Amino acid sequence: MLVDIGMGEFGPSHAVELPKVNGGSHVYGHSKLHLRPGQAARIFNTDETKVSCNATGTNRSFHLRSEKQVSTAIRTKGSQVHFTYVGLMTMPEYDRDELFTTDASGRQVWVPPAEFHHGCAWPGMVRPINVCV
Amino acid sequence: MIFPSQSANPENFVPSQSLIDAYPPGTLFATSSTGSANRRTLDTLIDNIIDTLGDVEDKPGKRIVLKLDGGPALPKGDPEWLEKQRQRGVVIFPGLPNGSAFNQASGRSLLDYADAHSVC
Repeated sequence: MLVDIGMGEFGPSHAVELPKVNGGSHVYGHSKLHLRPGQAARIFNTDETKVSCNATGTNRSFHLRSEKQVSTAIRTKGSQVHFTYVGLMTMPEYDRDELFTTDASGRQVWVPPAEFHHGCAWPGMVRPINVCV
Repeated sequence: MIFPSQSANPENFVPSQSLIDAYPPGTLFATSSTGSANRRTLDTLIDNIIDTLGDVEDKPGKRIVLKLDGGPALPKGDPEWLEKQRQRGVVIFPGLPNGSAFNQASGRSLLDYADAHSVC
């Protein structure tokens, strides 16, 4: 699909190496897809995670308790914290040399070289945050 | 970040400054009756991406791809909505509803990975 809409070309197989959260890098695997420079930042991977908690001491109950708005009795199910996080990840660019390959009709295609740019996130990255609502 | 709300008009939610400060810069906030994404929050998300990039058209090099899990927010039965997104350069790539584990794997196969491993 990405090739069909002009975001890349298929060519020789190459290793896909991505940075790890705690430093270093990891080879994900191998790909025949060569994205055109800058196109990686135009692919957004969204996911949704619902977080809930049955604990009596949720962030919300602690907060309300400090405000003296609620009793300190065991919280009912209705007091649970539910929220949805919609994450956006752009697919990372990766270093590679220029590429000479052919498209579906057999015409030769030149794909310019690309340099890795650290995006906002990459597959597998989880950034923990502490919140109180 | 989508929170549940019992308000009759959850679209009118305005986050407090302390809430904004608690999240990474650029985080969008919304509320819905269930706390889940819906058509309105999806439209807001897409509009924000387009506004942020500012260079989205239905031309090679200008398009964006939005990979979704195919959940309730995606108006699968609304071809006019899908056509509208395509005309402005937004390509929707639906995944399996409620199938995060599979969709993450399909995200790798999208890149034709022959040997996928988990990272971190």
